[in-house]
Amino acid sequence: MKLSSKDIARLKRELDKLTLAQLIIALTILTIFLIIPIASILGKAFIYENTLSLKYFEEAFLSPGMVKFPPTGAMVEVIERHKFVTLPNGTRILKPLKTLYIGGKGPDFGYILNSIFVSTSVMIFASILGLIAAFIMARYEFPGKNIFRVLLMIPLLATPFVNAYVIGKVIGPGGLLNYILKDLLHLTDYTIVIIGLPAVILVQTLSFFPIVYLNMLSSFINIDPSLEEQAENMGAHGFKLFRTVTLPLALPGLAAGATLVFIFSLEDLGAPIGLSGAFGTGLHNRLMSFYVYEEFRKAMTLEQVHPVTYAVAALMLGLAAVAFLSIKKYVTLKQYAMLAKGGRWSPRVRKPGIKGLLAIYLFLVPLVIVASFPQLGVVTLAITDWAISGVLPTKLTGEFLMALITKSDVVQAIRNSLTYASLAIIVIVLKKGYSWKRHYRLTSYHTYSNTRNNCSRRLLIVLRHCFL
Amino acid sequence: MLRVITRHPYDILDVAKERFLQSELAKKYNIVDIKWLPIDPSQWIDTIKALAEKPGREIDVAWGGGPTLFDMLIMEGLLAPITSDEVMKVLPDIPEEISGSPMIRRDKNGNILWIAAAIASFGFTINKQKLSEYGLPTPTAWKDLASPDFAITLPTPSVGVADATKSTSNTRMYEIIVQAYGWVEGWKIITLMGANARIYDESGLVRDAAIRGDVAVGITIDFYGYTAQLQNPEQCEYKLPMDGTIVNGDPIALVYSSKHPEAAQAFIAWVLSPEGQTIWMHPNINRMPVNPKVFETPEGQKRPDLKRAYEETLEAAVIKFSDELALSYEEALRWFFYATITRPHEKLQEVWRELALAFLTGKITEEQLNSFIDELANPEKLKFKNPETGEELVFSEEVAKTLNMKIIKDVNYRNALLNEWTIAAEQRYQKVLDELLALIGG
Repeated sequence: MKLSSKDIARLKRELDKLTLAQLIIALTILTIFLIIPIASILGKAFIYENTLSLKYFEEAFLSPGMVKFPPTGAMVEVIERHKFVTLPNGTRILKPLKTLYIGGKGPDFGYILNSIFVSTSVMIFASILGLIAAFIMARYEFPGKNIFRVLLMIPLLATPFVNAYVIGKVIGPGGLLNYILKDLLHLTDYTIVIIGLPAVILVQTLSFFPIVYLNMLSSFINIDPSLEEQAENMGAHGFKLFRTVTLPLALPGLAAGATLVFIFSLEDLGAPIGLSGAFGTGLHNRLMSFYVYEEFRKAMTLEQVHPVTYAVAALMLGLAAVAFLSIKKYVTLKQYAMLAKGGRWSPRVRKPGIKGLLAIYLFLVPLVIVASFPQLGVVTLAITDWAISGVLPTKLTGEFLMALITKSDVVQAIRNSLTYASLAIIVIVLKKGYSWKRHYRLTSYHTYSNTRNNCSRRLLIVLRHCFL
Repeated sequence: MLRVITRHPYDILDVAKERFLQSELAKKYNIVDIKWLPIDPSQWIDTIKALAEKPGREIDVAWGGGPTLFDMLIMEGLLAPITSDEVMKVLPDIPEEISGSPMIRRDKNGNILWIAAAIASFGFTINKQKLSEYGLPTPTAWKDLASPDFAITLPTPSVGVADATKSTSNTRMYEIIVQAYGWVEGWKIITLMGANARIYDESGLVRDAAIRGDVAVGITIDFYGYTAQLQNPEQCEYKLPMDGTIVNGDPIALVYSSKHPEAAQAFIAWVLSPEGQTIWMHPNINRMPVNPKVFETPEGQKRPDLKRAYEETLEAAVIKFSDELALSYEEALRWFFYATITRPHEKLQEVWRELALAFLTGKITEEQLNSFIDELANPEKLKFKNPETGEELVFSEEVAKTLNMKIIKDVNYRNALLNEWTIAAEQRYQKVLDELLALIGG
């Protein structure tokens, strides 16, 4: 392609010194910290004895525990644990303890398929929760709405490892859930144990559903009300209106949120590490992300990483890329012309009747309570003796908070976190300054909507919407 | 300013720094600050050598990390003889050895190269509440943790251990078991202990699980046990196993690169003195001192629990333990644990649960149980192919020694070997399960 003088003039105009400097800085950072590492991983994964080869991928698929199809182990099993009881005459007998054992023995599809299974499940569950929550928040006016608006966002205040740890304390055999169901309410004499992949799915769904929620919320709010009004004029009401008009209009938002959740879940280490902190090693570790982490960690002492690890990492990267590209493709195909998009209109918000109100609370209250468990748990852990006290905390203590200022390694860690976070913000601002400027100049608003980058913008919009 | 390379956590370092800088010795030698370098053991040799070349950044003292690490520094010629009068003044209080382990390491010419600043033993921490909740017997020996009694709560385990590829202290305990019981019996105990256990990623998590009561017993180094005792005094207790442990001296030493050897040795002298030893008495630290005179100080007198523990440690049932032997198969042991216990954990736990219950309910005799255990966990009956030569091997002590170096050096070999081990282990676990079910008609 040859550049005409007009093109060059345009280029000159756009590439002023500041833009050029930003461009170079951004490209350098991108190359050093993203492109080179990824290229090196891909190189190590695909090159065997100096030629392109799929050998390590083949090895990855053939290693024990990597792929198990059909999966082994039943997801739910009624099993008996036991305890010893000494009778008055001194003999010791075994007393069975009924247990509902979920996820401990299966399903196990092997590392690779487990990851796909978990990410897909998390994507589906997070989408359902996020969709319903967003629809309620976008379309109904009810008492306490502003409180829910904040509470629904709490899972985003992520303390990833602690989240899983707290959930471990809640769903473990001696955890809060069993205490409530069995000892407090006497609803069942089964002890419920949730571990393995179902535990990962639970933890991740609760952590990630707000991503779908935020995307959907902004989609619902951005739907041109006149489209729904037209549909109503033509006789579509209730669920039909939702299914045939509202949902299709909001679908790009759903797809973007769901894809993000899929990718986050695929890459997540907080759940498998946190759960193995709570329950020891188990099926909840048998995920690609954990495999790669563990192999690298072991290599710290021996300084060797087996190339199969790179192959698994490349596989994860590939899956994430496919998910991302397909959603990008899908979103560009699904554009609806709307009048007044982004404009101000009175939104279609109505007050629910008594039944509707009840349904809303029945959905939202348990959701925000369960989803804020980790954060509540973190606070509880920080100010009480819950970490060592068993099912419930027994006393308040300032000991752990004091450590924030008295323990020099903790102080150093806090200082480091703040320093690095501030530096990161500066870099992001510099980079974003560049990319936003470019996007507003070079790309139209429409083609850019609903891509991943846009999520952060939407997040800002929604946050502003909430707090200001 | 002194520069100290160390493996101690900041719990210890903060207390030590504060107290030392206020001491007479620090004033006498004009020491106004200490810089801690908490470095991973694998980096010690490189770090000491590298900083020796950088004027003003040379390391003066090495402190904590266990005798093996310090003996390695000696082999590399990185330690200088301790000669100062200050150290010589406290030296008579330091026992020459405790329970068979040297507390003072000398070279051929009698030069002192390191001195233990604390001692450590290995055992387990019990949670009494959890034991009584399930009616479990109080364990007193390693082999108790491998008994069918502890399998009754499965699939929810009541024992806690850490994976051998991730915890050096737990690896040391497995080595103690192997040397106390011999290779074959030792591995049977380790395997069944693993079957009874939740396998954690870190030794600290095992301690926490015992404190919380997630497990009824967790294998721990002694000071984790004392910390547990202090945090949960009603329920937790550290136990020295009756069937054998070892007592390690945790050394302090003068590094060859020190430009202020007198001041550096003043610090060493302080750490060894009754005054300096009081840092181990701190409620967040709870370690066994090397200098028993600390128990005569006011702070030492506040810790009769530690004094009692110290006396028990002196009388611990110690085994004759060879570091050299342990090192000769350490890597093979660590990875064999991972490949045959951690990786196929569900399968191992499933078959062991069935076996234990069949035995406890009288469906099989003790003799049958032992024969199944032999089939399940005897390392010398685990057949696998050497990935390089295709030769069929069993995991005997000799084979472990020959594989040891290869495992460290060749990651491809290691990977292939681990796969062989895991597949062979899974096969024999399944085989035992099938045989058992055929026998008892399950």
